[in-house]
Amino acid sequence: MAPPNQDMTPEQVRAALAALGLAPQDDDDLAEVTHRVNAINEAALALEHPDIEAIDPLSVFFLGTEPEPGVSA
Amino acid sequence: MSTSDVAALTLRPATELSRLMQAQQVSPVELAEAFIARAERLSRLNAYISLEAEQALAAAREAETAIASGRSLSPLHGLPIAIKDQMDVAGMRTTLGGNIVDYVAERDATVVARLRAAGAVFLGKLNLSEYALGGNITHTFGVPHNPWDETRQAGQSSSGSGVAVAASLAAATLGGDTAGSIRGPAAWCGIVGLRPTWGRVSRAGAFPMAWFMDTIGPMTKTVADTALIFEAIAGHDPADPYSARVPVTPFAQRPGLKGLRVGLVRESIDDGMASAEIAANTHAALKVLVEAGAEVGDAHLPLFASGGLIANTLADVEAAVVHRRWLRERPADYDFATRRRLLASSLVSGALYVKLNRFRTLVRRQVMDELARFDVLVTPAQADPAPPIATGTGFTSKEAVIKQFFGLRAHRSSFNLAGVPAMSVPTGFTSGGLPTSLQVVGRPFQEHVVMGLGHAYQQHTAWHEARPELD
Repeated sequence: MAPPNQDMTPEQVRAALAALGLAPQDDDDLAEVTHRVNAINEAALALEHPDIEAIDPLSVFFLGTEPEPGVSA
Repeated sequence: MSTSDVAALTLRPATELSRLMQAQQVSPVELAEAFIARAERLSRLNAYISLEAEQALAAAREAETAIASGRSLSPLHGLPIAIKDQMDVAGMRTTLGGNIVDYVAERDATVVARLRAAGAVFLGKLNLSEYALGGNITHTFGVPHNPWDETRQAGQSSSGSGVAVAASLAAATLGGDTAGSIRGPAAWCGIVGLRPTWGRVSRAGAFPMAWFMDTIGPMTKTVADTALIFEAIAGHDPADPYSARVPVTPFAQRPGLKGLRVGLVRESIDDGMASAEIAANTHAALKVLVEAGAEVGDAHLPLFASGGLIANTLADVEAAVVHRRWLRERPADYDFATRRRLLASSLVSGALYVKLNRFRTLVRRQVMDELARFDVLVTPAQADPAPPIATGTGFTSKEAVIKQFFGLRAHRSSFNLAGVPAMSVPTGFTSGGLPTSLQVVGRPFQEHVVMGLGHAYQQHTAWHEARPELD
């Protein structure tokens, strides 16, 4: 994968997809997939929060044992 | 009752139809026939994938006999309901709105089984964005048209469910909401749509998009209708491993508006985050609530604008895994926009996925902290009114993707991420005649509070009584 501050090129995207057994159907597919990949990376990398490294990456919240509102997870 | 009188009843709320059927003033067969005739007449809207007249009329005849002999099962007995084609209905075709799946279901999804046990009559399966993803440009079963302006989008992904209610092609429908797919179409179609608390309603028998955010909920003309359907489908189901064991509080125990603390999420409306007319209708709705006794204040969700990025990326990674085999073997059978979206999300790194899940936890904390200060939060349900039907994605640069794709659902995304209940309620129309809506968000498992506010609002307004002119 490209360094985090660099956009992936269409050929890098094609190669990364091929490694997963996937392929774009045509050049239009490849161009848009590349834009989408670079957009996700750029937008997500720009997200910052001072405590982020100390926060658990939870997928599921509590179900039947829900704490009262205001009690941080 | 004359045929024209029954036809006019299709425009009425489900709760009213229920009362008339229980009082034997209209028969379930008459009502089913009227909805089927209307759905056939308005087939140009592409709300249905399959309209199952024969099965519906057979069930309606059984309901008619049962009610006439004093054996009514519930207020839903005989009520004509249609189901998003993401959920199995025994004996009906399931397609998921795409080209890859097509089978006749052998058993009901749990939500369908519960409605069937309550006596509901199933009219058929409803159109949707393929595989409940949203964002496809071509539609295997035709583009769903917004009944308020047929050149406009109906919303995604429970598009057919929204169209069917707004155009009175079913008394009520079920939709699915992972990243806004009930509330979005409900808002653009001018109806009520409830996304329940994650885990509140079983997803067993429904095709998944993202297991940790998928929900199923009602889409109806009024909040009272939504409560009627919600209470029939909510509650623990051992067939869904993430089904909560929390008792359902009856709608009848909803609080009144007096003293209810309502927090307007400023980040949803300030600095151009909602169009001027939608912002104006939101403020007008809050004025109604204040005059009825609610206490409105400012709430803040600092990560609100990032909700679309976080929710869509996480959901799409899950979807890419679900679709991996088909994406390898049958890529040409997807709509081009769906395929490109799934291919791109296949390349999201594990590190980025973990980072976004950490931000998801932060979003949840912010939502829960504000729900400690307020009984409910409110935002516009959509930032803009329904746009014209799309002919392309417009994703010609990464900047365009960031603006259009991650921003599109931001108004609903924070609450998908938090797993809390949220409902779209109509608040009026733009100058161009397109519906606007308020999103009401509650604490986990407090759907009765969310519905209570919406119902009270509808007692002071008449937006929910407006119907599009279609004939």
